Amino acid sequence: MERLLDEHIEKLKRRVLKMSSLVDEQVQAAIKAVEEENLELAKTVVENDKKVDKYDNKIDKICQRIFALTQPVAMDLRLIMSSLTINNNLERIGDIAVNIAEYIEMIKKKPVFFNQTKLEPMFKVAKQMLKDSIDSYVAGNEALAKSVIEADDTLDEMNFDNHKILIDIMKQHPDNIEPAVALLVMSRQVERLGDHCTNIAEDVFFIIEAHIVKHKYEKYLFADDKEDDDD
Amino acid sequence: MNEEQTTAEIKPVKQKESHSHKSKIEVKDLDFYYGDSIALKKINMDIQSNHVTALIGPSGCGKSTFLRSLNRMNELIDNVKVEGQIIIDGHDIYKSGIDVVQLRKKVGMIFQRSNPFPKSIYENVAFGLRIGGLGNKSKNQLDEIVEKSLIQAALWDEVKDRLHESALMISGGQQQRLCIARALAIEPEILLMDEPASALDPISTARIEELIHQLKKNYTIVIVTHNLQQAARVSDQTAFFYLGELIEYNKTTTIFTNPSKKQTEDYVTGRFG
Repeated sequence: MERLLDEHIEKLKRRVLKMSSLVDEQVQAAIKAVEEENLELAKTVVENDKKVDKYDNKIDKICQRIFALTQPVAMDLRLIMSSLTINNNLERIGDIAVNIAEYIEMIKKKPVFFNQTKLEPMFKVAKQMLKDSIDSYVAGNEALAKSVIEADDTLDEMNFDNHKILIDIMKQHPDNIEPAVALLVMSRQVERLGDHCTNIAEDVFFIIEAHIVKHKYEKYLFADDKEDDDD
Repeated sequence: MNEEQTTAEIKPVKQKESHSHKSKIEVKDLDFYYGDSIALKKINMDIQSNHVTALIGPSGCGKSTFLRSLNRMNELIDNVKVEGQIIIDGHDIYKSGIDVVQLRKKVGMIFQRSNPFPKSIYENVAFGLRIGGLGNKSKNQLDEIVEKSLIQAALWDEVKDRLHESALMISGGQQQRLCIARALAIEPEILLMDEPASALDPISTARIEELIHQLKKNYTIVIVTHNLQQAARVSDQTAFFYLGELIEYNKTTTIFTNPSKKQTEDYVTGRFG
C-alpha cells in the first residue's frame, strides 16, 4: 500500500541525492582547482556554494514538514532523522570545498614543496570516501559505509604526516611559512572532510541497523559481539 | 474455598522469588474462543506493576478480547471458552471459586464511550460503593472518597461546586474523567481502558493522557488504543496483536523505533492495518 508518507520520503531522497551530487561536484572542482592551479575554477566553487546552501534549507524544510504532518516512527523515523544530519554534513563538506578553493585563490599556485606533502593522496582518499558515503546511503550498503569509516584512519595519518613535513619545511625555509601554513590548513580541511564522510556512513548504519554507532563504532562495526544499548 | 484461598495466598511470594521485575499480571498460554472460532492463540505475557501497557493492532486482532479477558468481562457474552491461565497477584482468575465481583473491583474498566449514570456527579462516583455495600462508612467518609476519586481523576476543581448536578450536564471529556473517578472510588489495583479517548477532542484527549500518566504511580494500567501516537505517548510497554496472536511485546520505545518483527514495523509505520 502506497502511503502519503512514501511520497514525502521519495521527495526527500531525491533532494538529498541532488545535494550530494552538488557537493561532490564542488569537492571535485576545488581539488581540481588546486591540482591544476585553476583560479577561475576556484572562483566558481566559491560562487556555487549558494546553490548548496539553498538545497540545505530545502531539505530542512521537507524534514520539518514530514515530522509535523506524519509523525514518522521506526525505519521511517531513522531515515528522516539521518537525512537531516546527512544534509548537515553535506553542507559542511560544501563549506570545506569553498575553504580549499579560497586557499588556492590566496596562494595563487602550488608551492614547489607541494609534492613533498601527502596532500595529493589525501585528495584521492577523500574523494573516494565522499563517493562511497553517498553511494552507501543511496544503496543502503553497510559494507561500503564500513569501508568509509575504516578509510578515515588513513586520512588522519596522512594529515598527521603533513604536519610534520610542513613544520620541517617552515623551520628550514622561513620564507615558505605563508604557503606552508596554507597547505597545513588545506590538509586539516581535507581531514575534516573525511570526518563528515564518516558521519554520513554512521548514519547509514543507523538507518539500516537502528544502532547509533557514532562515537562507538569500534564496538559495533569491528567487534564480534554487538550489544544492544537501551538508553 | 478456604483451601484454595490458602494456596493462592502462598503463590505471590513464589512469584516474587522467581521474577526480578514486578509482574502484576501473568498470562500463560491463553486461548480464547467465540464458539468454535479462536480469537486469541497461545498468548504469553507479563504485565508489570505500575506500568502502562498499550495493546495495539488492527481491528479484529484480538486486543479488546484480551483486555476484557483480564477481568472476565468476556463471560457476559454467550458461548465463549477460555484455556490457559491469567494470574493476577498470584491468583489464577479463571480458577473455580474466584469471586468475579471481587475480581472486577480489583480490575476496573473504562470504556470507549463515557457512560455516566443519569444521576448527580456525586452519586456517579459513590455508586460502586453504595451497591457494593458501604460497610460502616459514614457520610463523611463517603464524601472523602468521592473527593479523593475526583481529585485523582483530575476533575475535582471543575465540578466541586456542582457535585449534585446531573452528570449528563458536563462535557464529554469531563464525563470520561468522571467514569475514571467512578472506577477509582472502589479502589481497584488495575485499570483496563478500552479506547478511553477515541470519542474525545484533542484537548480532552490530552487531559486523559496526562491523567493516565499520573495514575500509573498508583495503578497498573492496560489500554487498548487504535491511535498509535497515543500508545507511543502514554505507555511504557506495547503489545502488538495480529490475527489473534501476540506478535511482539516490548518497551514502547523499542516498538516505535526498532521493532524486531517485520509485521510490527509494517503496522507502526502504517504500511498495513
